Amino acid sequence: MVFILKHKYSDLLKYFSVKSKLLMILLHLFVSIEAFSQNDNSFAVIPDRQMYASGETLFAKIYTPANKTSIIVYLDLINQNGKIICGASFRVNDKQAAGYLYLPDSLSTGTYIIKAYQKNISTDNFALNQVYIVNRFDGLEKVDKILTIEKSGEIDLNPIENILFKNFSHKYKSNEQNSFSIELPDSILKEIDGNLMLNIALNNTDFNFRPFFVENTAKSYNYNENKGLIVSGTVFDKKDNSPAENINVLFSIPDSIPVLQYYLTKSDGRFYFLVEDYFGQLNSFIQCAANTQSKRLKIVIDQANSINEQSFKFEAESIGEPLKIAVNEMINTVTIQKIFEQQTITFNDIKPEIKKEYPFYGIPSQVVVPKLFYDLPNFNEISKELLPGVKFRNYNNEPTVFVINSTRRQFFTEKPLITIDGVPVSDVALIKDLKSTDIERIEICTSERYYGNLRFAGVLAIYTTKPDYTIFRESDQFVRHKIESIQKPFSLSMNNNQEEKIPDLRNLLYWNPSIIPQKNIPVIFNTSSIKGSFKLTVWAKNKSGKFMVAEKQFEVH
Amino acid sequence: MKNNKLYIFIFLTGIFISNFLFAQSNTNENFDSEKIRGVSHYIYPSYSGNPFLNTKWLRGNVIFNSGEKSESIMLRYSSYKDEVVYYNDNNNRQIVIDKASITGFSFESEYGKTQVFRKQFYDNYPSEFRFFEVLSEGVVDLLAYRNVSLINTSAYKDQSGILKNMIYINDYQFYLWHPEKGYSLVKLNSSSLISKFGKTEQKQIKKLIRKNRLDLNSEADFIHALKLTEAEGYILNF
Repeated sequence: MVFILKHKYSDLLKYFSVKSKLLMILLHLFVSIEAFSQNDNSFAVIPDRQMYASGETLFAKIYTPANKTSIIVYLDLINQNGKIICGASFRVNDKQAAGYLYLPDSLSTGTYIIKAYQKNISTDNFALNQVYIVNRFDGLEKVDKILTIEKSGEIDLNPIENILFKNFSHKYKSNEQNSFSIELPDSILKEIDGNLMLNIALNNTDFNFRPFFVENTAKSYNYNENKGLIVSGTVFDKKDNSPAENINVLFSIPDSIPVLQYYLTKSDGRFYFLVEDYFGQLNSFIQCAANTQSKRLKIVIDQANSINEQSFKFEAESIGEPLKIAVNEMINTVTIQKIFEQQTITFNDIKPEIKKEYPFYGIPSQVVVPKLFYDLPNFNEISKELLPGVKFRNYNNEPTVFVINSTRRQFFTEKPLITIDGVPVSDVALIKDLKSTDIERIEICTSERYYGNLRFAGVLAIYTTKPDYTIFRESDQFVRHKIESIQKPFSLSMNNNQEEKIPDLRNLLYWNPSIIPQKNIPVIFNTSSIKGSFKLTVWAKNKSGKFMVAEKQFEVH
Repeated sequence: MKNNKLYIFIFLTGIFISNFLFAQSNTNENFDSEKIRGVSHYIYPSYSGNPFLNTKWLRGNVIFNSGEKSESIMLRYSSYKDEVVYYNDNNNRQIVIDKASITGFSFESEYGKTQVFRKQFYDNYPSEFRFFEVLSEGVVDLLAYRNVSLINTSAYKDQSGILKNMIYINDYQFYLWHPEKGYSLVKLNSSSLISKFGKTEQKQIKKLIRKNRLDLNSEADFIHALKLTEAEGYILNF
């Protein structure tokens, strides 16, 4: 080592033959390429507009870096103090994702940051943009200045050259259907990577917020979300608050075909579970059991949002009366939309991908539907009358249950796996008071079942008629966790005119983040009742990772 | 001089490796992979013959219905029950993998040959899902059903001196299979193969087999013959 430090690198090479030198140069090139590949800044988040009223919906398109394997991208809304207000996660397809955030009604007026990031093992880079949100109950009456992020890390935007907007007018009438087409030359078509985004929105501000990219070498995650969302956390020993090792943590998602995963913690007490093929909000249960009597465990689930806190520097800009008037008009339209409960989003039908044909505990040997028989008042009666092969006893109020081993033709001596709506439960007392009317079906496996490394001495799976999960007693070791999985696919509602008497007050007339680039792109949009200046923006990314924009303005009268 | 080269090489290798080490995850390996589902394997009654295709545990892969693979696990194929047994190192158990959860498996045999098995629905009698060994894939596949039957025989004494009257015998069945035409039973001999072709082509096929000096009683030559006929453009008739 001292030898290496004493001499120059070039001097070192003279000790090697030509072949060896070539090999070392290749080695170094490889290392350099690896290093360079970490710094892909083609990561940007683009909202549909720059100004919103609280209670509105913010739509965003996110371009993700090419070198990341994660298929999930997160979007957080952060206030000026760095606090996360809300967030969502979206599925990445071909390095692009799109989604929305409902802006809470109670948001105070000010500049907010939208941050897009992915959870990857390597450096945690993220993309930022800023939006201005006006509280629709306060307006801008008391505001003379707005804060904008100090300009640093802005992403260069290049014009889309030779783009043509055929049959596009600079004046449109309100409440009419209109059409035009976008023509792209071959030279641009060859350059474009992925899909285009087109949005047509009210242009009531002079703000010119541009997307930022920030390279962050702070904390990173120790997993890649290359298959789906990962739920993670830590199990602690409550005695000394130290991470608990060798604890089997179970994760279940109740469903008609339930999901179960397990994880054996290491010395850091951490656990990780994959949530795959789910949309929207779902319930999950995470539980663990101590492996010694003295241990008292506590499960702490990681927050869904970014692990890296943000701090921003702002500079103030004055605002004038025209903006205040425009904002008041915007607030009025949003308020009317809220009164008439006009929806901005239409959810697309999702074709369920049937990957799981039967539960994790196997194909049941018996399925019993209690409602096909006389009503029975408790599980003791149900097991006696309807469940051959299940021995349920309730002596001295200490219930026990055993399932028969059909191969050995004798009962297992251990407790079976008992699940209620797919969630494993250890306390047999939870099922003793279940009556026929509470149970939709009972599935029984009368064999020694294995699921990975888990072994079950038979299975007794009970599915209730009304799964509200109140039957479960939550504790430090049995935690109910609501997961915000990836957003359901959706599209912007084009026209809210369900009744002629209700005005169409959309500020966002068109938003499509997934336009396939082609020579001629027809666009049909409906103007709303709102009159004023609107802006059409086309966004694209080229194969070198550079962003391109084209804009057009028009008036609605 | 030699030592200097060695130090430099180690130093550079260290830089190279550390670049990857920083990117390592410290999660459990395969925490997000599909888990094998199955039941406990109970030992079969002991008779002369072998209920398993492979006498030893062999490293192989299992393919789940989702397309995911569980790789490098110890497998044995039970020809007697047409099921795959795997050995779970963590709890030292032999587990019969749920047939419904996988589409196939493969392993490298004791003789170094990779044997690939595919689960297919056998629509003749008895109709059921079976594991077929894929011997050859093409327009028509050649499949082997490595069946072992337990049959009565004259009394004999086993290794422990116990009198028994049943043995496990190999009852391999070979099929030509086409996704639309289904299964056609074929025997490993030239007349069985030739009969599957049209009458006008049978003479040329006999010539082809003779020319290549193929002994169709062996699996390898039978496969070779089938591939030759396919390459020459002859269409199987079944």
